[in-house]
Amino acid sequence: MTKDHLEIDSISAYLDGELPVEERSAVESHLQTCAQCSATQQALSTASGGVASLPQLSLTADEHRELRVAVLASRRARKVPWRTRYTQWAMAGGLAVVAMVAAGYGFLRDGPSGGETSSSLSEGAAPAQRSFDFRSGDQVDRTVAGLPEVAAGLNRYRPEDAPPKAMALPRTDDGTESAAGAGSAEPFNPAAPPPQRALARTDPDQPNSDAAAPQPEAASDAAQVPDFSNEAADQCLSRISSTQSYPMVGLLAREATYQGTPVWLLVFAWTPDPEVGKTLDQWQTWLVRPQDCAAYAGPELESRVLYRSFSGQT
Amino acid sequence: MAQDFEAQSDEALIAAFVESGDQRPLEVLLARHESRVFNLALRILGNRADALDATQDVFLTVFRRASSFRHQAAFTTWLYRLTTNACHDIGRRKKRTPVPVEELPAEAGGSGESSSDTRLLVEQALRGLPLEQRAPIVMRDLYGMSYEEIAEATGTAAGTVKSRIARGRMRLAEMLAPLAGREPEPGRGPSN
Repeated sequence: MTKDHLEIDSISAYLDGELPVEERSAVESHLQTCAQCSATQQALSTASGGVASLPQLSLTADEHRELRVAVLASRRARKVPWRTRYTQWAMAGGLAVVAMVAAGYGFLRDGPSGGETSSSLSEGAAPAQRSFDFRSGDQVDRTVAGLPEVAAGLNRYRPEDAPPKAMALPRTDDGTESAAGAGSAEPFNPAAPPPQRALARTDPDQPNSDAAAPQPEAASDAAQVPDFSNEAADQCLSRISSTQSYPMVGLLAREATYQGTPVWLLVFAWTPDPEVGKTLDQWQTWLVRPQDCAAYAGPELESRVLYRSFSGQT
Repeated sequence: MAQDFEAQSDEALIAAFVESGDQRPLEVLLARHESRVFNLALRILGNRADALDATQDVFLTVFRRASSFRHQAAFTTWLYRLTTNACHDIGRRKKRTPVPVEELPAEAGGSGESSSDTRLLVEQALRGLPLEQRAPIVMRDLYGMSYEEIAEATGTAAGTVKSRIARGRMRLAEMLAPLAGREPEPGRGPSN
């Protein structure tokens, strides 16, 4: 309090109920007898009430969607621009990009044309001799980004291609589970050879689904990629796809090792919001131990995923 | 399951994400708080596009730094602190570029023309305040946060919050004097 009047801070805090009891009583008494301080209280109260009366605004549906997509698709957003570009190159360049990945970064090991076995492969050698051998999540991301199967699979599926949620999948003739949804005219077969599978998914009844498809030569390019197919991994891929809350389709499942641990590399095409792109235009990679995939499902399995990439987007 | 996450506290959701890497708890957090973060940013920045940028920055930071969240504090306090920081960053970048009236949010805030005029005047006045006064006033008057909570969210002392709110309100009162139909109190402006 100054000589004759209250400090503005005290009047303001009094309005907010933030004064200690003893000070509050003193302020209250003064306000009853001082016209000037009372007028100040009134002015501060008007200001406070004016702000308090401002409406709470909502995001529009579009803003909400954009925010959701931007945030959820970019959990590690610093990499998204790089990855997006990379995917576009992969889709346009096919072999060139894959070769660059294989030769320049050395991520692809021991494929049919993959060259010599690297001395940096994990010890024990047996799993690494016939699978991708990842030392870091970044390696996983970049390798997956360069896989033509992934590039070819993105934008080729629609939300309705995703399997019915939480339902048992029908068995196909070759013993694998089909990830195709009830409305899919051509069942998605994760056990089919990777490049042919992706390209064969072209649906003649849905010509627009080919808009972002790679050129046919990508099929021969993809033959350069090591094929570490695994039927059990395919089944795991299908089962996971069918239990997600988002439209999701399994793109590929392969054997791999991650920091010395044998894992399955599972790649999904999905979209966080079916209304945005109307295609499953993002991928996500999981690395999960085979024994976990066999023993668990749903959240229990998800909690055991060793590595999960952020979502790449075309 | 998603339904289970819906019932969990903010802090439990953060813990669930950190522990499992499962993205769904974060989605629940986003849905639960995006509107509050957006509104706070909108009132601090006074501009819808900037508020959306700030909201995105805030949740990206939440997702990236979930593991560094200290559970001694409430999640909302952390969230508001990130919001304040994001607004400061954007405000610094824009160097307090005046915001044209057309950028004001145009949703209905009340009934009748006069309440709309009042709202515009309040919004204009609010944007006339320095950001360090605007943020605590919005937190107090729109969100009912205590001085202590505001202090945590703004990284300042409670005494500073008290002072900034008082000075900011006094400046608002001067700008809103036409609303009250009288002149502001002579000689009772903010001391600095």
